[in-house]
Amino acid sequence: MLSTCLRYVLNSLPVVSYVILLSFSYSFILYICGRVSLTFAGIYLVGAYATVSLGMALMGNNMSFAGFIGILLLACLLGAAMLVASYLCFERFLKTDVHRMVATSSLLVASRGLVKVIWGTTPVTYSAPFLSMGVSEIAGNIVPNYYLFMLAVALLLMLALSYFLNRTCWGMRFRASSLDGERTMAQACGVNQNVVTLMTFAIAGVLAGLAGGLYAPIAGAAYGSEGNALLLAALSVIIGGVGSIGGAVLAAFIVGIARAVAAIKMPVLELAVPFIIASITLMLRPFGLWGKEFRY
Amino acid sequence: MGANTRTDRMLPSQFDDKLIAAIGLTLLAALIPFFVSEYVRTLIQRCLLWIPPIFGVYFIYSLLRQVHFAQSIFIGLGSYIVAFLAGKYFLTSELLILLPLSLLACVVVAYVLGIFIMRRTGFYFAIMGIAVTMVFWSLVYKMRQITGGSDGISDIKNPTLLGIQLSEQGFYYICLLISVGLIVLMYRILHSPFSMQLKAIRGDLQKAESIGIPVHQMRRLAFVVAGANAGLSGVLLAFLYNYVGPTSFAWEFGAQFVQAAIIGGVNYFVGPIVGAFAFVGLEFLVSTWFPNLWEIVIGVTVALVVVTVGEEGVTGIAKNLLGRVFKGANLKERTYSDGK
Repeated sequence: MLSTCLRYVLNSLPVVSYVILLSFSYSFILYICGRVSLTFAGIYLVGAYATVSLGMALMGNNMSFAGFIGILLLACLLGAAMLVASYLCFERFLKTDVHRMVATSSLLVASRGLVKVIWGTTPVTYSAPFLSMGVSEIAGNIVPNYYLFMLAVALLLMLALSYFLNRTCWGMRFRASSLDGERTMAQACGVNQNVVTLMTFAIAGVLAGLAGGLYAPIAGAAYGSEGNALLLAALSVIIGGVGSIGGAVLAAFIVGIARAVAAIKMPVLELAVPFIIASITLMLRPFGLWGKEFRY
Repeated sequence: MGANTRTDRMLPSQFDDKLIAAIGLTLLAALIPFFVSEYVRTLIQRCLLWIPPIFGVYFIYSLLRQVHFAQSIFIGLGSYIVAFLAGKYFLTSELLILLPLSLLACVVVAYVLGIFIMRRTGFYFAIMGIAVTMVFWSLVYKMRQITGGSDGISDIKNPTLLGIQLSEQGFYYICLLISVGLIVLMYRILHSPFSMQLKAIRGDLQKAESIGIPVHQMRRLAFVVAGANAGLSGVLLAFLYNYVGPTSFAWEFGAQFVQAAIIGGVNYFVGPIVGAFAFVGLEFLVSTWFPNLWEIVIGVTVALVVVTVGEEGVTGIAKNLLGRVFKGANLKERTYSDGK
């Protein structure tokens, strides 16, 4: 029994780790800048395709770990560049939340279109990093080392971000900006809001690009998978609460494990289960399991 | 006295101008199939069938300031009811049965979903809308034995009305009738006390509640109105294409109605109509010459429209230009936004 439970948890690790990164990318912008931005799912898709095609082009089947890390870093940079570009070109002119939702959802459609133009609509796979890492055994269950690597990367990044936000001077500036809606007070105290916003978008882009890049060796890059990513990330923000790192990790585990159990027991309800959990959360705790009262 | 108040409020000249324009446009739409090819007629038919769901988005947007991404659920529901009853398990293709049935199904589903997703506003509502479309999409996609999975259901029988098989021309007029009928109905609803209550809720929820408006009930009803519009045109879209697939539940399909409403302009009553024709026309042009670029073009266009003119859309731009050309012409129109 325990072993079965452990197997579900271990099987859900890849989804959990990419949902941690992706949902925090979304809630980070929402929390610090008070801006809704759905473009992150498009960045996820671009990151996945970039990792696959770079990996195939640069390394093929002779896999080196350092090379793979380098490719992931490139995917992160691409994600950050894309999100910052979308902020500079479109999002900084948007004044209300309704405008932001409409415009960023259409930017998401545009980034889908970009993927379609560059890579086409057929799914591509690149599983060399996943296969070359081998497997290990935990309490009688065989688990690929890549799953553990993904989880470690996601959790370490969350720890680093938590340290950055709560313990450093720049983190204090971020938190100060998140506290007042118009951000005039933080600006008046000498925190450059343009820099804070740009850095927020860059960090969110890094997280989204990394989520796509890390998950690509397992699931491949598929045109259309951004809908799934958007759904899981946004629902876990609703479950976990906006802007809390602990909430993002907790909600990603809830969503990932529930989805993994549903996928085996009742495949039809695979996506319905996260939605039901989110609806129940909204009724019982409207601001999420870990979230504070939020100004929306 | 009471009977006259409504006509007194409406200035006769303004009313007549609008009525004449509306009747003229309807007549134009009724005469057009005699002059154009079958392909163009299908395109116009698609524009006509897109108008009701866009009106649903417009209704939620202009009265409650929420973005309604979930219209595709109701399109899909209506389409799959047709696909089952008139295609796969053939029972009837009678429009007088299918349309009310789909209406009923959409009202029930919208009411139940409204309990979950109309509780919160802002991005929670938008995200829950996208999520619910994805849930329906995955249900339809995975129940392969019943729904045909990604293949969808084709060979739907031609529609009948009172037992008479409809020709393609006849079906065009049914679409026109339903579309115009729903536009008139939406005009009535937008000028009813119900809309006033919704506006009060948008303005201040607590205040509205304290003067006795059942806030959540009203918001749920607004969702039902939007869904019912989409359900009716879902039935006709299934007959138009003779094919129903899980893409009619996809989130990007629901987002298209938001995009069309934004392109048309959410501040004006004619916005959704302009939006439907502009969106379908743009799609036709782009997919003829650059089929791969469609998603980039529409995404960037909508983002640019939002950035530059906000809620005004094409209608606002056109009105502004016309107002400059005909100086002094009274083109003022009643809008449903704040402060205007």
